[in-house]
Amino acid sequence: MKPLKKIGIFLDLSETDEFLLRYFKKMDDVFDFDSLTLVHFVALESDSADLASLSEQLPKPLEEVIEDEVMELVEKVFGAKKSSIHVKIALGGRLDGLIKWVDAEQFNLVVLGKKMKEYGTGVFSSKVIRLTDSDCLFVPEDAKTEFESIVLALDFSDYSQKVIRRGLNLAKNLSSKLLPVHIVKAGFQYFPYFKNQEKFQKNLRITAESSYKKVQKKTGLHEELICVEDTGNHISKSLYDTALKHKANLIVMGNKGKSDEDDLLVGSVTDRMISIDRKIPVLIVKKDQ
Amino acid sequence: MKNKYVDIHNPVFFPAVVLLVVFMVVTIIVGEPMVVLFDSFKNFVTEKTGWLFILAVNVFIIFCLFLGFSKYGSVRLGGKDATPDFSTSAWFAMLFSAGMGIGLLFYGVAEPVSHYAKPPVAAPFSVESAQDAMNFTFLHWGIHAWAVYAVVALSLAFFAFNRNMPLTIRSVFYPILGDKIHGWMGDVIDVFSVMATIFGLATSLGVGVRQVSGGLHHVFDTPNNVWIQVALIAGITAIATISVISGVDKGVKILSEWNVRIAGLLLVFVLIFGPTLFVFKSFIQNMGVYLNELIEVSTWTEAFVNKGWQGDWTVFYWAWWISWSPFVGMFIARISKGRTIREFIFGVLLAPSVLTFFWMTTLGGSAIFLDMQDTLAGGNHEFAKAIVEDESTALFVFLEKFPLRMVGSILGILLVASFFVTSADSGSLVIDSITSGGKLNTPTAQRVFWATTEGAVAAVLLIGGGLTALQTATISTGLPFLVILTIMCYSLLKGVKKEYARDKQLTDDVDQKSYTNRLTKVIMKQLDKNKKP
Repeated sequence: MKPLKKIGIFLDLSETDEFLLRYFKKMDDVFDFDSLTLVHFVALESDSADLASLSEQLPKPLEEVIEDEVMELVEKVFGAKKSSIHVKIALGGRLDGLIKWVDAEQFNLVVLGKKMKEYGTGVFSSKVIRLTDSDCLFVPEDAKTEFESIVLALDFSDYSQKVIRRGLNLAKNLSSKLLPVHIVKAGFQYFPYFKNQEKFQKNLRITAESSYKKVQKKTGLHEELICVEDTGNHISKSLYDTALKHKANLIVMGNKGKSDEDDLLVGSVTDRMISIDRKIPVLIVKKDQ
Repeated sequence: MKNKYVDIHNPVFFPAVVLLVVFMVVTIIVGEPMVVLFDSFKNFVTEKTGWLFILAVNVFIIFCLFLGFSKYGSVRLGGKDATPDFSTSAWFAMLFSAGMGIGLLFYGVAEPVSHYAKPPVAAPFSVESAQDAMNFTFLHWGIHAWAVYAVVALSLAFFAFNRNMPLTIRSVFYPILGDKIHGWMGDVIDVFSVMATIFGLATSLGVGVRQVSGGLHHVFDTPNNVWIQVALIAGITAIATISVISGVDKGVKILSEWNVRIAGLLLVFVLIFGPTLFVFKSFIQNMGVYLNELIEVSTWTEAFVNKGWQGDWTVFYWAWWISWSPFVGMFIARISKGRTIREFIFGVLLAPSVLTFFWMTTLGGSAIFLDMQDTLAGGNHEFAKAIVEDESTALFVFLEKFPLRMVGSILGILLVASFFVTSADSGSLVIDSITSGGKLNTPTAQRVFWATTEGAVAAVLLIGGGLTALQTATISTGLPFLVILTIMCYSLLKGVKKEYARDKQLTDDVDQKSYTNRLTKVIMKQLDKNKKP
């Protein structure tokens, strides 16, 4: 697992920016990242004539104006202009070009904000999360800037080891408590006449425990596994409820689960974890590029 | 390894060369018993795995149609904003010329007449066998052949243009193997591609040289044996090598353009001086029969009567197309950037097939018609028998029925020889590209090496067992490549699905309004700041 050294943060000129920077500063304090790139994507509609005529009156290019605005915010949050902080203004409104750039930069982590107030404004962030190959941290606005306990969502797929390693790395620096969680999915709702439900659940649990032991050996994780039994809800709901119950501040999970459906850019569980009504930050671990 | 003279990918280049050398040396040293061995091996492969070829090629068609009709058909090769490099008509012409080669000249007359004289089901020389003959010929040269090419070409184009990967077969396996394609697994795949291409090409060259030799024998009564053929291979390969060395890609380009033109001229010539009305009538009828009986004929496996006919024809063709597929596929891929998958599938499956059908009807159909006319006039199928007697002279026997037969025959010989040169030249380009890890501009010496090797393989195969050896080589390298092709379909589907999902994410709207407001605010703030002092 690569250490967290190079970080990209997506800003969109809204109030969320300040929140995001403050949230991130807390991580920066302990990690002391090598480089922090603040990315802003200028998504101008070609027909917004008003805006075009306004920007013509500017004494300097629009890029520089936005950069100044962002740096102003950096000074406000970080106190001074840090040399490790760069600003990237992506003009041209080409999302695929931006994604290509992000992937080429090989950020160890890309941080994006999620607005809770205006419904439907998280579209851009969720697009970036889906399209990039980098690991993503998705922070809902108003999330607490604390890292006391971190849930590691484990399904014992290819991603699980990476999830644990990232979790260990975060916990070491942020001195957080790790909560490895596994949701047992039996799917009883499809088989209402299944007799030995309890025995079946138990077997699934034993299988999970033994898989967990194997991963423990490989990664050196000591915490007890929290196994949550199938309630008939979607896995993401059980996972989210468990995280809430344990007052987790962050959920680390894989981009996809065991079944790698090519139609989906992120798996269904992860997809629901980053949906609008979820209030816990999620760190999505992607496959190695 | 990269310097001024060589630029190769060692793990692919050396295993391929070693395998080829071992094969050639063994064939030459063992000599006569090799023919027996080739024959029994060919029979074994066609008898035991013939059904697999029949099944797989049908699966490729279904896969192509699925891709063409599904939502994934809208995925564009080269990305959303790519534009085609060639106009649609130019593209069709190039597609046709990709498949148009020695085979059409060799089998154009020989195959339909052969099925007519020695049919697998109907009575020989009957009206029924004549119709079946055209139908089987259409089957072998129609959409099944092009589905094989389409699968390979589409996979190569997709991974090269949409994923920016090198233009070699291993790139196609990225969705399954991931970065392992750069390791030994990728090397194995590429070695198989090289072997398949070499043997597929050697078969074409061998077939072509037999025809040239047969033609010379027919027209000038020169001896027609293996040694003359080997000498011809050496001569024509030398010409191909010179064209490679002189680096005149232009020369080869002009040559292949003229090939197609002269072939077109031959077609028009036969059409005008032959049974014109019959060609037009039977073309329509043959198309109808083909469409109507496509499923039955293409899934026929000689299950209840085993005459071994299918192994010599259908299975051999399927194996041939499969072993040709890296070669033709790479060419089609390079000319198809900017097409959507839907355009690609229907373009590649239909356009060249229909033209080939017309070619086959004009040459082979006319030959059958002329034979039937002879018989009505009191003959006993002498014409058809003369054609069937030696496939390599079939075209020239046929041309005797036409005016200016000397000119026609010499033109035919030159045409085959010229196709030989262009195939050897472009074939060496493809093999060179695969053995150098997907590069396109490699040192000339390497291409010379491969051009010579192809000639050598074709010669050795002819010495060590004639046509049987050629067919055996094709079928036995076609078999492993068939497996590769099947996995290729799965891999391509994975890649295309992901591309579609990404395209969709990229086209959905981004929340514009609130963003525009925020940006306006920033600009206004700056403007205010400027006004103040």
